[in-house]
Amino acid sequence: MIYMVNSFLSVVGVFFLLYLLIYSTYLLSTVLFGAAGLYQRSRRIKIRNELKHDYYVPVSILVPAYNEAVTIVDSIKSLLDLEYRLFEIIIIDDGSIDDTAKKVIEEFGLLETERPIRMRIKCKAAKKLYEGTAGKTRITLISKENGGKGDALNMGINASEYPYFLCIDADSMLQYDSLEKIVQPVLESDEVVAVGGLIRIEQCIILENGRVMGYRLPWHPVIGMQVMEYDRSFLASRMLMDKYNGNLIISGAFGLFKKEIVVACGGYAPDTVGEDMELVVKMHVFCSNNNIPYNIKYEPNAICWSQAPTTLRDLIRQRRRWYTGLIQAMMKFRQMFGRMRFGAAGTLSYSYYLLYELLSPVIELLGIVSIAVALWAGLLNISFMISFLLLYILFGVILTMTAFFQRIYTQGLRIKRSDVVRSVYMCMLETLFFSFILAFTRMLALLGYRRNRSKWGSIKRTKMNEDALTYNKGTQES
Amino acid sequence: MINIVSAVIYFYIYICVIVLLFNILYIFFLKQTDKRYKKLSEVWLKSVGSQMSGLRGGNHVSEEHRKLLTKKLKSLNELISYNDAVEQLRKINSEDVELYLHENISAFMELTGIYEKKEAMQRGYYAYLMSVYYRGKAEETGNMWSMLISYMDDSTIYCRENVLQAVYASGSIDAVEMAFLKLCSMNEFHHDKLLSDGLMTFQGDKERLALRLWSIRGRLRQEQVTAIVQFITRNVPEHFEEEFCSTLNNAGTDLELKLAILRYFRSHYFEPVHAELIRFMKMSEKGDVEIAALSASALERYPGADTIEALKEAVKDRNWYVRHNAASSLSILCTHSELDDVVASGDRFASDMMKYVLAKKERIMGVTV
Repeated sequence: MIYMVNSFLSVVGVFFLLYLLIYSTYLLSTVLFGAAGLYQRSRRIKIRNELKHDYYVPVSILVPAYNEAVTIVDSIKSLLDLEYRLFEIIIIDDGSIDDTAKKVIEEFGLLETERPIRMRIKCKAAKKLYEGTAGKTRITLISKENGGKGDALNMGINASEYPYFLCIDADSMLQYDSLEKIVQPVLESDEVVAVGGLIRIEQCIILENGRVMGYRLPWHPVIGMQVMEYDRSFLASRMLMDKYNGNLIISGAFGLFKKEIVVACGGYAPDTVGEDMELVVKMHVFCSNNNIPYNIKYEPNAICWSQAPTTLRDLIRQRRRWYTGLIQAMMKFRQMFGRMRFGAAGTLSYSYYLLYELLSPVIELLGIVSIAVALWAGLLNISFMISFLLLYILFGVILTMTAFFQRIYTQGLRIKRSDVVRSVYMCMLETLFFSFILAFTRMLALLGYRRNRSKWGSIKRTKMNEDALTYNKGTQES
Repeated sequence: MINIVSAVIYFYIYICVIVLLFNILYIFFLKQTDKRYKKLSEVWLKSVGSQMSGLRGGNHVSEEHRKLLTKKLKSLNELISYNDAVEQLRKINSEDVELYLHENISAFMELTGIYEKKEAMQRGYYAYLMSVYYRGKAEETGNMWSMLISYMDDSTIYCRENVLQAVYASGSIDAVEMAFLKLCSMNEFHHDKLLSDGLMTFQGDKERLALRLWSIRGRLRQEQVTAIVQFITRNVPEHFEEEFCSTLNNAGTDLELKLAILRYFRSHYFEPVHAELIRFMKMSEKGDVEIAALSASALERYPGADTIEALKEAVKDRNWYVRHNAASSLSILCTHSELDDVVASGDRFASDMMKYVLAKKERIMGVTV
């Protein structure tokens, strides 16, 4: 018996050491490659190596909204501050039960019209359609039956006029140059079919006329930890995957797409809670299967400020949805796994998401069970286990700090000394607690997958710019 | 095994600590660099300022100053600081700066050769500066432009675009032709939007440029020819009607080029193409939807009973864009009452589209009034 347990633990031990080794190597690579990429980009722009033009391609901005009465008007106003010549805004009210539509109609003086919509992608019916203009920008509001975010976006695509569309969350704000920056990769290559922008946390800033008026790292632990996580996990890893056209996610909060390709793919899936990842993976599969040369880009200079959950409950709810969306997309396109036909997206990226995201709760559970078995069999070297854990935590803290400071200097940000102290504190907090919270959330999501696979859940919203004042009280002098 | 993993993690921590320290030191270094740039700019400000004072007094730029330029501006940091100083002085007196730069053409000619050997990003920056410094100075700057065009070899899209910007700014038709041919020979994609917008900034005779570029269209890539048509449409629409008409009728013409030519005929009336536009609009059934939709839109400029009859038929087309554009053209060519038959027709798609377009027109006119 003991022999069997011993053999089992030996196999598990080797597996975990390899697992950890690959993961550490991946994390280190993302941070180093990410930093190199950011440095190159900032240097390039500093010495005028960019495609700066008065006119770019016209873009339709789609804003799906469900019960977003608190933030929708500010969000649209931030879009009107964009310094971009030709774009239209389409708000899709997905059957809200609050005053979302009313607020938009009143604020922008929209009038009801009978505009026929070309239904190229199937979606729930429109109830009413309103149109108006703000300056030279056309604003359209479509009130439709509730069908989920994907369904609302499909309606927006059907109603859009221009060849490229940008999807943005109703609780997000764009910088004045975000649209210009996210469109630039399209002019660089005719193979670009989608571009993802950088999502950053809105509670750190105050945005006035599309311009950031001071940056502070909040003391609020839930927000602070997310700031660190966004820098290390999202920015760095997406920049690495961008190098080999392997990004499987463009955040639903800010992404530009070539309409014809999306329509050809069948648009967003209305029956998933991770419609953003589902679409991008679908585009990889569609273009590869049809031998269409394509490129899915990531542009970190195009910045979108998005509200992060402020309570642990909301955060768990959000992450549970993200994980459920991940399961749905990975399962749906499992034919990608290991197939050379899908390039690095199918081999490297899919494998990473499978092993280190999708299966992580199962692997973590296996780890816990193994520890329990080893303890029972008296084979656990507790002092070694603790020292190894501490070593790994130390690596995590230093890596997160490295990622944070790299972004600070490569993007030319100025932070105060107090922010440095905060960042160190948040890095430690993020590594010590956040990763465990995430592991717990993923476990919950996996266990409750069947029950929650179509649930979105709601997150408490606050008015734009108020968050920064709330979470940085007395520190807005910068 | 475990020892190996521990050792690797220690190694990774070591790398992270090194990178972290580098980051922190680099943040301080950046602060110092800003100060250094400022200092360098001040030195250039004095040097260039004194030369400009001399110019105002009727003197020429000294030979020492030219030597200083060719010696110091080889360094990118010096070049950035120098440009900063020049731009500061330009804000005070742009005419003196123009004169000063004109006097230094020989120094910059030499530097153009030096920068040819540098990396693409630096070449791109240098080309950008030439586009600002020697705008419309094709004759005075001699073969500087052909040297700049060679920067496009083994470069990035940013460098190529900056070189093209410099070439347009020079006002030299020969240089633009050379740059377009070079771009074509490199077989590199360059978005037609970038090309057509760039051509609009050309500082010389735009009509002659259009004629020259159109004459070499057979040697260019498809997106370049499309860009030339877009440039002609917006700048010099005369003299190209016949040529464009025959290109449009050529079955082998690329779709994007055909669409660009249809846009030309939408903004530039040419009666002989009238019947062709009606014929193209009917091509929706054969699957040429984009051609049909754009023809329906162009017909708003071609009034006549045959146009209206064809448009009323097109409003019933299966394709949304053809219906929409036909209804928009009808709303421009006909009065409300002349369209009653479309609104009351049994075709619900045609009727809905016509009603929407008419309501929109009324709303816009109401707002305008």
